[in-house]
Amino acid sequence: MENLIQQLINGLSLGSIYALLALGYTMVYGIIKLINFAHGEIYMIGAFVGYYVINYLGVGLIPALLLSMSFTAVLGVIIERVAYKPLRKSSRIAALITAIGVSYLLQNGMIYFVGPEVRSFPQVVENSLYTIGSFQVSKMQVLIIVTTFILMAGLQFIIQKTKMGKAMRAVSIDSQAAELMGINPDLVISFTFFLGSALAGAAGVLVGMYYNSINPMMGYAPGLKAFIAAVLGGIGIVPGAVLGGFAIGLIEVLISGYGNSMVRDAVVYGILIVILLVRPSGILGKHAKEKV
Amino acid sequence: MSLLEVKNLTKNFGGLAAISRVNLKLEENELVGLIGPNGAGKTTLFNLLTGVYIPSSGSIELKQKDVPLSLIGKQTSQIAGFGIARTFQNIRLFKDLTVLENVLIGLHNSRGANTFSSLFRTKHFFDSEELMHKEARELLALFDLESKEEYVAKNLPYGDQRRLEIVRALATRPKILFLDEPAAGMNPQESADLTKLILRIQNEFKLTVVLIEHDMSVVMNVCERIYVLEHGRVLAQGTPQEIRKNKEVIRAYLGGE
Amino acid sequence: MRILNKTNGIWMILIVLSFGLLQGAILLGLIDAFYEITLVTILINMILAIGLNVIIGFSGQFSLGHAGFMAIGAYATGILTKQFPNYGGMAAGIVVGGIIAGIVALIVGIPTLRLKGDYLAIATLGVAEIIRIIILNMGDLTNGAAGLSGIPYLSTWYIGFFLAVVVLIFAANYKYSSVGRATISVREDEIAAESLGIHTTRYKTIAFVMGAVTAAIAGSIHATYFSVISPDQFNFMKSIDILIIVVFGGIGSLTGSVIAATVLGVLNVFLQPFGSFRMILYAIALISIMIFKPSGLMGTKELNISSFIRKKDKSENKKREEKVR
Repeated sequence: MENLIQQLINGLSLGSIYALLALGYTMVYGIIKLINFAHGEIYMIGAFVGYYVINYLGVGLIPALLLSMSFTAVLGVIIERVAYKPLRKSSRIAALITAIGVSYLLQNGMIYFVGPEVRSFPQVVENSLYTIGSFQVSKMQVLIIVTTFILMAGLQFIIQKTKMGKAMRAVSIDSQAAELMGINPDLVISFTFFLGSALAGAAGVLVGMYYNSINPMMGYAPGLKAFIAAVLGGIGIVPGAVLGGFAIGLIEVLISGYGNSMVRDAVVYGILIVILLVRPSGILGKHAKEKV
Repeated sequence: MSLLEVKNLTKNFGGLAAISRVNLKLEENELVGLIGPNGAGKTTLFNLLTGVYIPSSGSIELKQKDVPLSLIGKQTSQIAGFGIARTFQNIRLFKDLTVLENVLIGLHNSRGANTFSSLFRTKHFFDSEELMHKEARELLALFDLESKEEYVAKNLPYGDQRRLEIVRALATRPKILFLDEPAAGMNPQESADLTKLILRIQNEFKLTVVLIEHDMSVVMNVCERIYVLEHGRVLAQGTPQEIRKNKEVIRAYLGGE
Repeated sequence: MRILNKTNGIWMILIVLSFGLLQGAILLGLIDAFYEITLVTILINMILAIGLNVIIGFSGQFSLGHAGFMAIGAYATGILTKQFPNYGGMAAGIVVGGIIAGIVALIVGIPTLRLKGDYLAIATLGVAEIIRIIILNMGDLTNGAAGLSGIPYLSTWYIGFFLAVVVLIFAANYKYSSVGRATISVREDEIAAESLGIHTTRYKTIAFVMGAVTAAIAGSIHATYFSVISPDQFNFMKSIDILIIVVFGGIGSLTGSVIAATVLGVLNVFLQPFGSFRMILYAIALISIMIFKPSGLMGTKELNISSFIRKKDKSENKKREEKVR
C-alpha cells in the first residue's frame, strides 16, 4: 500500500511532464490537424537551453524556465512560419513529412553542433527528501508537479478567458468561418505554436532536472509517448491531453514498479491499440460524422 | 407490396427532429418528386434511405422476391448493392479521375474482376475489363459524354459534372435512383434537356426515380406523384394536380394563414 | 495473348535493358562490391516503397509502421534459413513471413480501417513498436537486442532485382484493374464510393495487407543479403525513411517510388563523405522538397508509355491521311 502511494507520486510527476508535452501535440492537431513530430525535439532544445543558461549565466530555476520557454516559443513560431505555413494548402501528408524533416534537422543539428554525448544537468535545486508518514516526496517532484499545475492553469486561463484563446477555439472549429469573422488564422496558428512550444521548453528543463541527464536524442521516446497520451485523452481536446498525460505517466510507473520494465513500452503501445479499437476518439473525444 | 415502403421514419439530431414520422411508398418504374422549403429535411431523408445516417426509429423495407428486406442498420455500400443509387446535392465525383474511370468504378460491384484474377491477369480479368469498358461507354453515350471520356472529372463544365454523376449512379444498375437537385446551377435550357433525359432513362432502364427539385415547372410537368416535406414531416402527397390545389402546400410556399 | 500489347512489351524491354546495364556495369567493375550493397539497398527500399505506396497512394490510408512488417519477414527468414541454409529455407521464410505479416495487418486493419481519419497511422505506429519489443523479448529464438547473425548469404542482387520486378508488376496489375480503381475511389471520396456499392473497409484492408506482405518480402531479402539483423534496424526511423521515398516520388505513383528509391539511394552515397553533417543536409533537402514540390517528383502520375505510343500513332495516322489526300 505504501509502495503504491509512493508509485502514485512518482507517476504523477512523470505524468505531468507527459501532460505538458501532450498539450502541445493536441493544440497543434486541434488547430491544423498536423501531428507535429518535431515537438519532441522542441522539448529537447528546451532542456539544452536550460542547461546552458544555468551553467553559463548561473541563473536559478525560475529564470532558467522562463528563458527556456521564451526560446522554444520563438523557435516554435519560426518553425511554423518557415516550414509549415507554406504547406497550409497542400496535403496533410506533405506537412507531416515536413514535420519529420524538422525533427531530423533539430536532432542532427544538435548532434553536429554540441555532440551526441550525454551531459549531466546542473543541479539548481538541492534535492532534499520530504518524509510524510512512511513515504517520501522529493523536492524535485513537488517542484515539477507545482510548476506543471501553474502552467496548466495559465494555459486554461489563456484559452478560456482571453480574446486570443477564443480565437484559437474558433479557428479549431472552423478556420474559414473564423476568418470571415475577422480572425487572422495565421496569427492564431502561430500563437498556438508559441504556447505549445513554451510548454515543451518547460518540460525539457523539468526533465533535465529530474533525470539529471540530457542528450540530443532525448526527445524521441517522450515525444511518441506524449503523442499517445494526447490520443488517449482525445486528440485535439486540451483537458484530454492532461488526462492522457497523467494516465500514461501513472501506467508506466506502476508497470515498472511492479513488473518487468522491459515490457513497459509494449504496454503503453498496447494501450494505444486498445484505445483505438474500443474508443478511437479518446477518453474525452466525440465522434463526429462528415456532413453529406 | 410497393417497391420501397417507409413507415414512421424519424431522425433526431440532438433534440431536433430533422425527420419525423415520415411515411412513403415508391412503386416500380415511377417518377416521384420530393419538394419542400430549405431545411425541410429532403436531403436528410435521402441520407436515411441510403444508409448514410442511421434512423432513430421507423422502418424502411425493400421488396425482394419473397420476404421484404429491412434496410435499417445496413451499410451504404450494402444498400447500393440492393439496387439503390443516388447523386449528391454538392457533386461528389472522383475529381482527379477521368470521366471513364468514374463510370467504371460505378460498374465495379456488378462487373469487376476479383483481386486474384486482377493480380494474375487471368482471362476472366480481360473479359471483365472489356465488358466494363463497353458498358461504360454505352452509358456515357446516352448522356453525350462519350467524347469526353479521357477528361479529368474536375475539368468538366458544371452541367457535365452533374450529368456524369447520374451516369455513374446508373452504372450500378439501380432499381431506384435518388437524384438530389440534379438541375441545380443549370440554365433553363440545360435544365429542360436534363429533364427529358431523366424521363428517357427512367423508361429505358425501368427505373423508379425520386427527384429533389426546386424548379416547380420541372416537378409539376414530369413527376407522377409528389411528396411535400416541411419541418421534417410529410405535409402532403399526391398527383401534381392535387398538390397544386392543396391549401397546406400553398400556405407553406406562399406564406399567410 | 492480351498481355503482350505494346505498352507491356516496352516495359519488358526497359526492365531487361536496366538489368543488362547493371550486369554490364558489374562485369566491367563500374559497380564494385561496395556499390553492389547500395544497389541491393535501393532494390529493397524500392519494394518497401511500392508496398507502402499501395497503402498510402491507392487507398489513401496512412501507415507509420512499415518497418514492423519488414521485421516480421526478416526474422521469419533469418530464423528459418539458419535451420535450413538453402533456397528452400529462404522460400519458406518468405512465405511464412508474408503470412504472419498479412495476418497481423488483418488484425490491426479490420477494426481501425472502419474509421475515417488518422487512426491507422497511429495504430500502425504502435504495432510496429510492439513487434519490435516482442522480437526483443523472444529469447534465443530472436536473440534479443543483439539480433541474429550468421544468417546464410542467400540473396544476391539478382534475387533483389527479380523480386522488385515481381512486386512492381503486381502493384501495377492491382492499380490498373477494377479492384484498384475501387481502392482509389476510396482515397478520392469515401462517401461517394460507398454510394456506388463499394465496401470501403474491404478495399482499404486489401491494400493494407498487400503492403504488409511486400514489406515482409523486402525484410526476407534484407536478412539473407546482409546476414545480420537486429531490432534496431526496424525502428520508427526506418518506417519514416520508407515514407519519405513514397512522398518524394509522388504519392500514388509507382514509377515515382522506383525513381525516388534510386535517387535517394544514390544521393546517400554522395552524402557519405559529409559524415554526420549528412543527416542535416538530408533534413534540409526533405523540408525544401516538401515546401517547393509537395506532390513529389511525379505527383500521382506515372511515367506513361502508352500515351506516348498513342500520340505517336495519332501523328502517324495523320501523316497517312495527308498522303491519301
